[in-house]
Amino acid sequence: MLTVRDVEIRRGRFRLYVERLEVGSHVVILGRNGSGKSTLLQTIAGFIKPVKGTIAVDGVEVTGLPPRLRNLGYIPQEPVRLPMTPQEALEYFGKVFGRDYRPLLEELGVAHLLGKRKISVGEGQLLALALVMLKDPAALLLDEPVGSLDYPNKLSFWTVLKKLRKPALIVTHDPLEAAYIADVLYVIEDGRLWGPHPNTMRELSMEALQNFNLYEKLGATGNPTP
Amino acid sequence: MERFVKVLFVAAGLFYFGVLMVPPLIIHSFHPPSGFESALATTATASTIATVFSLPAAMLFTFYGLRRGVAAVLPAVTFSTAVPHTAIGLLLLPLFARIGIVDTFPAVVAAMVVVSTPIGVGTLATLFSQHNKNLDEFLQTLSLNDLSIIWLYLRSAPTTIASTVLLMWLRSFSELGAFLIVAVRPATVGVYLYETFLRLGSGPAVGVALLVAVLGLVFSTVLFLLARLAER
Repeated sequence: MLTVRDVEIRRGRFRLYVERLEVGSHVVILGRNGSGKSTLLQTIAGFIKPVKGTIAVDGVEVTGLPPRLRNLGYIPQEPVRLPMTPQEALEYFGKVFGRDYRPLLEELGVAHLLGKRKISVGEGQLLALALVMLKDPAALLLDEPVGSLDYPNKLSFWTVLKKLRKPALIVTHDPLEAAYIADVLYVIEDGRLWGPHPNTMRELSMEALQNFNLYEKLGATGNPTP
Repeated sequence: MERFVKVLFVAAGLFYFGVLMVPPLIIHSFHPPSGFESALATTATASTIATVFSLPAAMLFTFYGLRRGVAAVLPAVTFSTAVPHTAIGLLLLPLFARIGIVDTFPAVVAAMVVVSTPIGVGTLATLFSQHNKNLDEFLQTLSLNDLSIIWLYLRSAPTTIASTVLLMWLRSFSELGAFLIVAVRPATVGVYLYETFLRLGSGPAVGVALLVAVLGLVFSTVLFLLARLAER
């Protein structure tokens, strides 16, 4: 469980206040461009110091700790391009975390990444998710992880994430995505985090995503791998 | 027209090379006075030792300067590239005199470290800047410490590292200004050439200079090939 209490973030003229945020399931923060979604995530990850407030992971306060000691997994907004092949990355971080990556890849359904030397942006995000899961963090922080992905890859990423059932804080500006993935919703507006709201729109969003999947309807190939 | 421009550039390059190399070949013969081999061995050994120290220093300065918000330190480390190296020698002289290493091998190595570190910083800055901030943040949250992150950056560009090492080594090898102040002995190649010119005149000195220039041509070719390899 990730908890954020009474946190205030200031960057120049920008100010964001979070009275209370709890992440024990898939929590989505919806906000417009420039509302502070990424700033909030970076603060929780440890790259920005809040003016006040506390951040705790599984009951342990981490507000003063550097990012690598917070037991959180973070996938940034821009796709990560690792300077190694997927196999090299999985072997390297498998050794770092003392875990065998093969069962995880099977569980996530991304074993096809092994043996590839070059991967697409979408596959890169799936690899990043697999590496973060190798660490087995207490919670995930995902900053618009599918922003750069095409529709089939987006669905693929969300499908994999849904399988994980790991507490995750996801930020997005897309209300349809938010409704699809969230158990709980928050909104950033006017420099403040509002919520929590239960997600009552999931069924509608799933229906909409299927209805508008023109890749399938028009007979296009490239369906996402589960 | 495009072919004409290419021919023109090739001709200009050959002219540049020819002006430096042909007159000495025609006018002077190669009879190096004694001491050249010793100077060459001293310079090569000292350059190698200096690079062993200056390369990690350059890596740490560049990484922490660009990635950990200590950018203000970079001008302090690289200012010597904008200063005549006789000035660098004069700045080092009080310290070297105090610790009693003027005109010794350690002084040669230390001066080489000072002049080659900024070259390493300049080359590595390009490499570290290529990897975006997102990758750095991602790796930090994967519990990697800074040394591990530096290692991952370095393994992504082995040819760039090889070029950096060679450039730093060559910078040390070609130093003269600082040595004239703090390390005239043991004589390095630059000092040997200068003293040969003063003592024996241009004839013997130019012949040795030609040989050193050929060495320089070999190293330049290696750098060029490394750059081509990096592009692939």
